[in-house]
Amino acid sequence: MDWSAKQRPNSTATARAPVKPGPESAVPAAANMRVSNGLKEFLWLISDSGQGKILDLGAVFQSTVMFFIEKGFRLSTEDLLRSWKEFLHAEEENLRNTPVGDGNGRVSQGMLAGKFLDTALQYPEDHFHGVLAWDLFDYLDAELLPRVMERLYTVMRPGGAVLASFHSRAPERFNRYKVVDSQTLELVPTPTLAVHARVFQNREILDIFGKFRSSKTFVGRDQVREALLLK
Amino acid sequence: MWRRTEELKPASPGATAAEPAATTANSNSPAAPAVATPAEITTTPVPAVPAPPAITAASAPEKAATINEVSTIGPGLKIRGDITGSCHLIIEGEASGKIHLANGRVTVGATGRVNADIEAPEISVEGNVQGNLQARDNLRLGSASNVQGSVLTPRIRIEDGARLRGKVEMTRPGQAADSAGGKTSTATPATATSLVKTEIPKAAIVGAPRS
Repeated sequence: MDWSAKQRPNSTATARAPVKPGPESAVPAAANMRVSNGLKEFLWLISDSGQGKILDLGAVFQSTVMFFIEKGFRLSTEDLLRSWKEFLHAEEENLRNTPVGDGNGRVSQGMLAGKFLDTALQYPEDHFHGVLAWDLFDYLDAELLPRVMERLYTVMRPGGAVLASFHSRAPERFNRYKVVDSQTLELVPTPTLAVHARVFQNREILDIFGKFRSSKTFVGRDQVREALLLK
Repeated sequence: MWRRTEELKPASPGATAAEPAATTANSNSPAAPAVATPAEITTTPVPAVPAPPAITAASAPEKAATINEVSTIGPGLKIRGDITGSCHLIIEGEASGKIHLANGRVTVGATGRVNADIEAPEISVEGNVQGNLQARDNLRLGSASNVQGSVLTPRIRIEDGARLRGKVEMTRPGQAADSAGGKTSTATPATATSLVKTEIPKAAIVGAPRS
């Protein structure tokens, strides 16, 4: 399927055209709610996939699971950031328990990233129609990020879409995201799991998605950018 | 510690299995103190007990509701092998192998660590599970649960804080899961339009797709 050529009826918008914010959601506005035009577009892109397979790289929530199940998708979840932090913690413990001078003391970030991905993101190639990654990529270590992107590219089907969010400035708190409806997310404040690593410029976002085709970027009122990219 | 005689059969000839002597018929008393030694129980294999006759999907929840016998694997106990039967099972210790209950509910407590596929009408997890979960009636992932494996159930309740690394697939209520090797990936999930008029408890967050 060539999603880049997919157009709505009575629409002449191209894949790169800016998108005006859609109509307000029926969900009452609240401080912990945010409108996600990226999600709306993401759903539209994968709507032709039938029982499409979605990979959510954040925390699992009832509302998110049910939202996608009810729409006929098959959902897999993997809390990648939490797994990465727990992996680092375990490695640190191992190092502490390693006797001094046995030669295993020097571990590079690259080695850790490679070891982590030996067990994480283990899916068949060309498997997923869509990937959700809110508050993930700008929290990952520099050595891990490109490897994760490479792995995601591998497990996604051609034409598959990635929806990712990026902060325009360091966030004040760490949130998880629940899908409330097709264009509303609930932000769930969570004890800080990881420190915000860096703020990506738009060009840098395109760079880290090197193999992907750029589609659209949405900027919310909270200055969080949602990037939607296609394989 | 077992609180009720449990049907156990070895996974394979020569494999270790739970010892029947370690079980006590004490289904109504409070949980006995856990065995102090966390060492794995290695016992004489027990002859396999014929599995109970297959029940119809519709009768499964009803039978599960009438079961009042509870078996417990207490903290400090490690069980390796297949566990089958028709009772409620609470796991606060460690279990590996395969767990299949024709009726009843499997509860993995906060201290429970399970490395096994679990198949039962009802499954509730508060601890750690590494394996596929197939619940014919409903499944609950508590706020402290950590599951690595696929989930197959007609109704699911996920509390905030739960961790799941795997896929979620929904079946029709009462539909027997494909138990052949725990191949959840081969089970056909219900589509959004295939489930109709599911009797959904109002109190529970349920996972039956809408019609």
